[in-house]
Formats: sequence, C-alpha cells, structure tokens
Amino acid sequence: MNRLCVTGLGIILLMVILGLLAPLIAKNPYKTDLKDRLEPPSLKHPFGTDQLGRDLFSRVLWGARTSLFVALTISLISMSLGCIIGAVSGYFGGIIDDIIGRIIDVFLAIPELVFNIALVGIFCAAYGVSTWNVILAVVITNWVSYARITRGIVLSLKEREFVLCAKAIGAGEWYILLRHVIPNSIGPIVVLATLNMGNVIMTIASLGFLGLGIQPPTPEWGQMINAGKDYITTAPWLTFFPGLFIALSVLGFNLLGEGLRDVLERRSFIE
Amino acid sequence: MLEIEDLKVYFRTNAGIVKAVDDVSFEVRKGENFTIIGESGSGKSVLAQAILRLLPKNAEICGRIIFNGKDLLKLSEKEMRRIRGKEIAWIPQSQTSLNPVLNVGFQCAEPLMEHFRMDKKSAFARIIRIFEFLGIGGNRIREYPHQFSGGMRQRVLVAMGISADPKLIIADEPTKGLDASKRSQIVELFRKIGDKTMLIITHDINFAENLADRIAVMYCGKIVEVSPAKEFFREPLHPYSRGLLDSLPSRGLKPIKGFQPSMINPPKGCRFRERCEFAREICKDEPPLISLNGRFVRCWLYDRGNWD
Amino acid sequence: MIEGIGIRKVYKSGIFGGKAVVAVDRVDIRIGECETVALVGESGSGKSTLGRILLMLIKPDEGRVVFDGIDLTKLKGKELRRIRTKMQLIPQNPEEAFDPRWKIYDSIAEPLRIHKLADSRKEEEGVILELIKAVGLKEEHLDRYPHELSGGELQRAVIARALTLNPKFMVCDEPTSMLDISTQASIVRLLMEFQKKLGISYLFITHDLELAKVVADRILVMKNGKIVAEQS
Ligand SMILES: Nc1ncnc2c1ncn2[C@@H]1O[C@H](COP(=O)(O)OP(=O)(O)OP(=O)(O)O)[C@@H](O)[C@H]1O
Ligand SMILES: Nc1ncnc2c1ncn2[C@@H]1O[C@H](COP(=O)(O)OP(=O)(O)OP(=O)(O)O)[C@@H](O)[C@H]1O
Ligand code: SF4
Ligand SMILES: [Mg+2]
Ligand SMILES: [Mg+2]
Repeated sequence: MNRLCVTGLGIILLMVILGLLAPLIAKNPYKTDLKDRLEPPSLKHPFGTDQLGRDLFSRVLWGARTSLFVALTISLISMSLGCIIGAVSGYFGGIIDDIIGRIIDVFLAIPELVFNIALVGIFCAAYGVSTWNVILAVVITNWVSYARITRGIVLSLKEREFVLCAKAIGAGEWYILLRHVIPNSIGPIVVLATLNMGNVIMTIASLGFLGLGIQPPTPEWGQMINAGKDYITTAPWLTFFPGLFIALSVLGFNLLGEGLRDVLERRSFIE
Repeated sequence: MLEIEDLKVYFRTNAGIVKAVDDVSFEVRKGENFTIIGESGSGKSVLAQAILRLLPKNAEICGRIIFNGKDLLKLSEKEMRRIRGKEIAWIPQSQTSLNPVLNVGFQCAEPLMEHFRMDKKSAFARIIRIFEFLGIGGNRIREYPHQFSGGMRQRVLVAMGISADPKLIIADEPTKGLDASKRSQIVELFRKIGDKTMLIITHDINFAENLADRIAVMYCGKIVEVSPAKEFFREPLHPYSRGLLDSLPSRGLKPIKGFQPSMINPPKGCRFRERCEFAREICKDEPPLISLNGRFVRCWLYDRGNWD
Repeated sequence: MIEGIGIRKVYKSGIFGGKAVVAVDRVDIRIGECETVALVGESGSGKSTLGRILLMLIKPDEGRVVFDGIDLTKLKGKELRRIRTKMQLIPQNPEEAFDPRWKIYDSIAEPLRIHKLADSRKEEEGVILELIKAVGLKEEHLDRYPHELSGGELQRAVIARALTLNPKFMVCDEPTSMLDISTQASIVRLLMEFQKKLGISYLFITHDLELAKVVADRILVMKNGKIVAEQS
C-alpha cells in the first residue's frame, strides 16, 4: 500500500473517530461556566476553555463532526450533480455540450470564495440563517470542477474503441454511458473528490470565520477561530486548536488524494 | 548481451496457475537479430514483458535475466527505470500503451527529452524525421492517437521505441496492421540501426525471413526450436515449425489440426503431442533439448538412440 | 445485400477545422448475398472508416448506405439498433474492443443480454462456450480481464462476440492481424464455414494479398480514400 495513502487515511480516520466518539469522550460543548473563563490547557480542560468558559476540547471534537458531515454532504451532492452534467455534456456533445461548456467557463471565471459569500448572503436574506445555506452555496460553485473533469474523461473515453464496439452490438446511448463510460471514469473522479474534500473543509471554515457559515452555538472550527481572534494574545489556544484541526484534516485529504492518484495512475500504466 | 536462464513466469488466476513461460533459456548475442515466432498465446509477449519487468501484479517470476552482466531480476525498480527506454527499448504489442490524451509527437519526444536532456525543438525534429521516413506527414505530429488509423498508430509505436537510440530493442509484432510497403520500410529502418541487438516477436513470416539471424519457435510456454534463419526456412526441424510454415495462405491455408492446449494443465511430456502426426509412446515423457549442427530442437524425433 | 453509394467522410481537426483529412472520397461499393469482398490498400487509405460507415457506426458526410433495401442513413436510433443485430464488426484493434473493467465472459455475453436472446443463464453459457471452443479458446479464459489475455486470444474473443448474434453482414477489419499463421488459417476457415451455414456477407479488410486471394470473391484496392482497382 502506498505511504501517502496510509498517512492520509490515518489522519482522516483519526478525525472521523474523534468526531464519532465526541458524545462519549467529550463534555457538553454548550455548557458555559463563567467561573472558568479563558482557562489555559490543563488536565481538566486539555485544550483550555473559551470566553464563555466552555470546554474547548469538547467543542473542537464536536466541530469535527460538523465539518466532516457538512463537507461530506456537499461533496456527495456536488459530485453526483457535476458528474452527471459533465458526462452528459461530453458524451452527447452538440448543442448541450456548447451550453454546458459556456456555463462551466463562466463559473470558472468567478473567484469561488467571493461567489460563495455572495450566495450565502442572498440565501440568508431570502430564507433566514441555516446550515443549508452554506451547503447550497458551496454546492453551486463546487459541482463545476467535477463537471469539467468528467467531461474531459468522457470525451477521451468516447473515442476509445470499446465504446464504438458496444455501439456495434446494438447498445443504446444511455446504456453505454451508464455501463461503460461512467464506470471507467470513476478512478480520476475519486481522486478529485478526495482532494476536493480538503478544499470544501477550508471553504466551510472560511465562511465560518467570516461569520457567514454555520452559526453559533453549533461548534464549528472557522467560527471558533473568529471568536478566539479577539483573545489571540491572551488566550492563543482558542485559535490554535481549531486551526490545527482544520490544517490536519485538509492535509489528510490531500495526502490521500495524492496517494490515490499515484496508485490509480501507475496501475493504468502497467495494464 | 542478453542471456535468459531457466525463466519461469506463472500467473495466479481463479482457474489455476497459468504457466505462461516455463523453463525458457536462450541467449541473444551482441549485434544479432533474434526472432521469436510461435503459437498465439504461447507466452512470447509475457517473455518480453518479463525482461523489462513490466508484468502485472498476479505474476510470479523466477530464473535469471542477465543483461550486460547484470541480473535484471535483482535490480531495484529505480535502477530498472533507468534501463527501460534508455538501454532497452520496447515496442509493445498493444496500442493501448499510447496515451489517449497526449498528442503523438509529444509522446515520442518525451523519452528523448527525459533521458538525453534534448531540448524540445531537436527532439521534435528527430521524431518528425522518423515519422516521415515511415510515411506519416510531419504536419500530423500534434494529433491524438484516436485520429490515426490502426497502421499509423503502429508506426507511432515503432517510432517511440527506436527514437532513444537504445542498446537492445525488443519489438513485439512491430509490423502488425501494416501494408507490404510499410513493412519493408520498417525492415529498412531496422536494418539502418542494424548494429543494434534486437529481440523481435512476430507472426509475420516474411518479415522474419528478411530480417532474422536466428529464429526461435515457441509453443505453449516452451521454446521448441532455435535455428539460424536460413536453415530454418529451408528445413524446419520441429513438427510444429513444419506445420506452422505449411499453413501460410500461399501454401493453401492448411491449419495444424486442433488448438493450443490449456496453459493451466498442459499435456505431460511433449506439449505438442496431441496434435503431432509423429507422436509415439515415448512422447509422453518430456523431450530433451537436442543439439544438431548448431541448431536446437526439443523433440524425441531427433533422439536417434531412443526413437528408433 | 449492402450497398454504399457516393460515400464521403472528411475529418476536420485543428482550431476552426483548419486541417482536413479526406478519409473516404465518394466511394461506391456493393456486397452481394453470401459474398466476400476483400478490401486492401495502404495504411491510412480509409478502409476502416469505410467499414465503419457501412455499419453506420460513424455518419458519412455525404452518400447513402442501403442494407436489404433500407436506407440506413435515414433511420432513427431505435430502428438502427434493431438492424445492428444483423451487422457486426470485428474491429481492427482487439485490445481496445472490450471494456477493460469487464470480464471476457460478460463482454461476450453482452450482445445476447442487450437483445435478450438467451432465456436463461444456462442457454447463454451454452452459446458462449460453443463459440469460444470454435475459435480455439478455453473456458479458463472467460474468467479473466482483457489485459490478462494475449493479443491473439483477445482477437479470437472479439470474433466470438461478433458471431453471437448470427449476423448477415460482417466487417472484418484485419481479423487475423495478431494470430500466428496456423491459427489464422483455422479462423479464416471458421469464418468461411459460418458463411456457408448462415449466408453471411463479408467485407474483409486485410493487408495480406495472399490471404485476400484465398478468401475473397473480389478484391478492391483503396488508395487515398478512393477505390482505385478491382480484381476478381
Ligand atoms: N495477467 C495475466 N493473467 C493470467 N494469464 C495471463 C496474463 N497475461 C497473459 N496470460 C496468459 O499467458 C499466456 C501467454 O500470453 P502472451 O501474451 O505471452 O502470448 P503471446 O505468445 O504473446 O500470444 P500472441 O501472439 O497472441 O500475442 C496466454 O495464454 C495468456 O492468456
Ligand atoms: N477520428 C478521426 N479523426 C481524425 N482523423 C481520422 C479519424 N479516424 C481516421 N482518421 C484519418 O482518416 C484516414 C483514414 O483512416 P482509416 O482508419 O480509415 O485508415 P485505414 O485504411 O483503416 O488504415 P490502416 O490500414 O492503417 O488501419 C487516416 O488518415 C486517419 O488519420
Ligand atoms: S516429441 Fe513427439 S509428439 Fe512432440 S513434437 Fe516430437 S515427435 Fe511430436
Ligand atoms: Mg503477444
Ligand atoms: Mg484500419
């Protein structure tokens, strides 16, 4: 097994386990205790406490739950959406492809984070504050990269002779797309999805930091850093630990993605 | 130059162990053109891939492959990568080794730029020369593999293999899908770089006749005959070799009866036994490798003492 | 049986289609019932393109393809697909002909499954085993992936697949390019046997003139997209 994969997977598993076990090993992340405000890390509070006296360790663990869960939801939705759009566009070509291609170009031209901020703003104004705003906003910008990659893969697969041969035995267009083309493009898409998870976690944290993401009191890393930044000289642990966890999980997904790319690409070479 | 001793390549599959190359030994001398012909599925390509150590994961390999004094099976993957392409070139059988998303010119030029630090311009100039020699217009160099016809892709593979000026060329069916005039161009090209040592695998008997110094015949994982080319085409020794030459279309398209035996449970003794018109009781034992005036043949027919 | 009238195909490439390759240039071709027509000619002269157009796998820019009195260029997807059971392709490059993620068995069974021609798994297996043996492969090959077969074995698997549908017309695009001459001889004989049994017409693309002389009723020579000579 590839070393990058193993390291990345290890980090991600650690995050997932910590997140899953949060209800068991962590205290109540909402319980305030004004007597214990801004305590430095100690045995009782391994990561210290925040400005409201909440246990930071618990909040960071519950934060892992939020970040991973929201990021996964976003990734799954945008992956399905992007892959289908990209595959249809590349496979059927013609006017559909022209239109989708233009849309993709437009999306790629706008800086993603700026677009996200604008979208969240609009959704908040329209529907009020909710986590779904974040999910929806990020999905809207995120499907594009999946669509672009899938379209490219499908375009090159379409020229491969086995697709022509499937046609020759009388297979229909949708059958070929679903049974031959999409399964053969899964590899690179999995790599992309893994690398993309890291980006999505970053985006969620950035939105949180700007106060546009998941709203307090739900624990979320970006939002915790935002709250901690006022105490950065007196209580640096408030920004350090959430930041560390963001960095670690992004690193984990990037390592795993790079590793998978190595494995998948090498294999296709030998075969 | 290249010595192969007791080489075995086995594949693990669900149905059992495929003995694709079973106890093969031979030697390719410096400057020589050594051509392997033989039954489809007899292990020729696997043999070539074993020399380059490019076998899939379900393969097990043992024996010795000595190239210029080094045992290739003992080298690390990194050392092997330096040998591939630079010292030993491989013209693969499968056109799937062309990358569908890179243009053909770049694919051919890349090894030149990588191994010889050539700049892009001179690398491309060299590739264009080879392309034009093989009848592909230099203006098509930036096209992608799917835009080429089958024979054009085959020529791209050849160009890619020989461009890097290697010491040994291993070519797996370099002329498949080409018309007569392109074939003779490939012969000419191989003659031009003629001081090179070559290991060629082919089904094209004319090509073998024109180019080979020595011929080896492979059948069901074993080498059954090794002869100098002239003598081989005048008088093949092994019954399989005779049957093979008799099935040329110009000689009436007469196939050898039956098909190749299973590579998982090959027949005991001589593997050609079930299809051989001379087969006798003794052929149920493994035939020895018999040396006859500088030729080698694995058949009881030539063991005077035991046959008569 | 099948007829191509005034077929022309131009491939454009480069930005704005600046570079054009005329692959097939106003070709007329007729293949009669139970007839074998060999198509020879230098590499890149448009033989495969012409074969694919006759099967309507690529659309010609100009011209018509008429099969059994039906103009295929006018048919819609579904009707065309139904007719596809009667015409088959043995592609030039067998390594690319099978989905790399499918086992050989599934790939050969695919036409039967698409057209629902086998009532049970058992019947399907029967058909496949018989064909596989006819082309000289063994049961052990069926459980493997395409990259685990030799070039010639794959080529025979592709031929077996083309025969599953009992076609009336077949384009054999260098069907024996990866076979040793003895196996080539048996496969060619097999194809001729099927021709007698089922009355198949063949367009037999090859580079081997000797072979063409043995198998074909007529030989067409192609050059730069045009048919330039005919011998019989
Ligand atoms: N990865 C694999 N797993 C299992 N069996 C394999 C694998 N690769 C090859 N084989 C088997 O090993 C045998 C030898 O294959 P090889 O490709 O060397 O044949 P070949 O002599 O090159 O034939 P051809 O002339 O048809 O290309 C074949 O029977 C093939 O089915
Ligand atoms: N998809 C494509 N895009 C662009 N050009 C193509 C495409 N397919 C074929 N061509 C070009 O059309 C011409 C004819 O190709 P075709 O495959 O019909 O040749 P062929 O006669 O079968 O040759 P071979 O004997 O080498 O297989 C070639 O110049 C080829 O490069
Ligand atoms: S050993 Fe016997 S069976 Fe084998 S080739 Fe020689 S004569 Fe035929
Ligand atoms: Mg081979
Ligand atoms: Mg062709």
